Amino acid sequence: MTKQISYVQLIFRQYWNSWINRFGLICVCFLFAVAIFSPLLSNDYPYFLKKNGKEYFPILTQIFPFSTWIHYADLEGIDFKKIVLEGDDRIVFPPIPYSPTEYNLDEPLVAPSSKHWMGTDEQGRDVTSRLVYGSQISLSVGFVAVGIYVLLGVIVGALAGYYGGKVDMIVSRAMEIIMCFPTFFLILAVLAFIGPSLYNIMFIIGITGWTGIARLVRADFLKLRNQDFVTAVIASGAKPVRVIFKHILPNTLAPVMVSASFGVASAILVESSLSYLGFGVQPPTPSWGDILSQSRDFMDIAWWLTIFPGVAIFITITAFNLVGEGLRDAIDPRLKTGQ
Amino acid sequence: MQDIIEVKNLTTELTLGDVHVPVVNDVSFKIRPGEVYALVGESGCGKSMTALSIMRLVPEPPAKIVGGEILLHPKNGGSSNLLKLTEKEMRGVRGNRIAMIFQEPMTSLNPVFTIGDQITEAIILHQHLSKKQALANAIEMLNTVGIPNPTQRVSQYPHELSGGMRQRVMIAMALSCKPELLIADEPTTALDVTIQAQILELILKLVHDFSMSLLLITHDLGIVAEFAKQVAVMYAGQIVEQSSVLDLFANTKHPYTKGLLDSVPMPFKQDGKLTSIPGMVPDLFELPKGCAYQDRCEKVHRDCKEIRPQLLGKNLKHRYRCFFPYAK
Repeated sequence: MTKQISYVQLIFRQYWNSWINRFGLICVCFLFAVAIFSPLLSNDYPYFLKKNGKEYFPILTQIFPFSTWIHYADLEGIDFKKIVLEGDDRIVFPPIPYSPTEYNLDEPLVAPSSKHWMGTDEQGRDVTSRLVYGSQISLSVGFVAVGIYVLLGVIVGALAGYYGGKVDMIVSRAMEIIMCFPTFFLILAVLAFIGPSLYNIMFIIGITGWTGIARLVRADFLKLRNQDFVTAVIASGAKPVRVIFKHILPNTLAPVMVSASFGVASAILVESSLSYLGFGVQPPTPSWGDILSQSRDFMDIAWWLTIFPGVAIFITITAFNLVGEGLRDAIDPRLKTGQ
Repeated sequence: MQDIIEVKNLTTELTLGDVHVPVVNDVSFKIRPGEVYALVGESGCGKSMTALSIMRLVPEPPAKIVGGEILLHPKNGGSSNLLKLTEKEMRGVRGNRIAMIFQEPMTSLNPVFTIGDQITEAIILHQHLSKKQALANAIEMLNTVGIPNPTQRVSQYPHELSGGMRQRVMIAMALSCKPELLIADEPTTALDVTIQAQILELILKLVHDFSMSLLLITHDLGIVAEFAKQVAVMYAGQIVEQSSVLDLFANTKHPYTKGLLDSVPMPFKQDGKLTSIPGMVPDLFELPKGCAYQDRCEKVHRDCKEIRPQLLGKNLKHRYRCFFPYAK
């Protein structure tokens, strides 16, 4: 008997076949790792400090800012970078020993060097550190916004496709109307009213982006609605809610995933654009679009302010698009290259 | 003996634009407990629509049940008209008291769930068992329908099974709640000839073991002759001849039934040619005035083009819709 593999395993194998898919997925995983571990990667508090025979882990006070069990009273107000080490005193810094908001007016616009890998901006903040923390903003905007609109789109599309008739008529017309809005300018206008913030951006992208997913799900439901297995499930006495969400929905999720991964890429791009225009995340919170925006004034003397965030955005968008494209190919049964 | 189900003057219409076409037209029949009732006819004659109407599963719109009664008489008394039940009450009937097997085993199972999940679903729905008990029941059912290694098969996906195996799974699903009536809509049409007999015999055996009734929808008169007791022949949405199987074969009345019987391939026939009924099934949207079969009938008469025949017969045991039936 052949070894049993599930549908998910099958898709993953299909996906993993091509090097470009592997590259995309590895990039995405790398970005996630950077975003999750950014406080460990880049911090102005050292991992470890041994001074006067006492051992400290100052970084923990940054990672768990509200904890009461880590409290170093004798380290308060100390500048770790200027600490004087004597005897067997030791200090271990993270790979990037700066915080994203730590300014140093003595070193504005320093070119990339071994001290500042990607240089500093006009306030002497380390660009590497800002990029690392900016990945948190980008990924969370991407995933939360897409999460909101996938949820909305799936529910609306499923109901329209399953019930058809008048429900479908109303939902389809509503979708067409929403799709006619120039989304980006709508977002700009709304942000001008309710004020720019990370959550507002997520929310607005979420409630304007669902039409694509809804159309996809609706079309699949129209197709699957009349499949024999759906009739068979109804004939065995299942409720509509169960038929829709348990039996039909899993069959449409694969294309939704594809669309969602493209959606993450475009949401990140929208957030960067908004930040570039000053409507996005407000300083001093680091965001890739914000770094790019600053770079406008220094483009002729500080190339690193333009290149590095630009490359970061480019790689992120490309990686998510590669993942989307790879998934699309992997779930397409016509492209199966054998099991 | 009390009939288990009684279909009276069932009419289902298809609506396209402003045109209403009866795809099931004034169909009546009764099925007794433990009886195999066959519904025979060409593709598009309304057999499947009749079955879906009984389950109240006609795709609405465009189709709609517009008239008639479907009376279900349970063994313990208290009959109900299925067409009058609420959707919620109807869900309690589907799968529980009337179950259905479909034509295409390849598409009747959900590709993303294991077969165990799919069988237990119906059991949990109607019998309120725990998941573990339901799974044990499912394994037992798989064993009953003759699937080897049922304990391993429950965790397999439909794509890992052959067509015959899938149809067995469908049978297990349909019978898992021990319904009173099983509707089998061309259960063997999509299968290999070698498997067809096995599956049919399995269905017949289980129908007997569980003392169910079977509504067998088919276009294969060989199957009817071998397995069914009562039969109705359908043409263009209407029943054209209705009798016991013995009577139908020995004493054919309607020219269409005769045409069907003559079309059965005879391997030892001298000239080696296949007989067929000339012409085509009429378009339901442009049914002729008078008899629906007139264009293909060898005994067609002036009256046939003017008056639509009623379902008649000397006794109610053998009824036919023809002015000029064949004599005995």
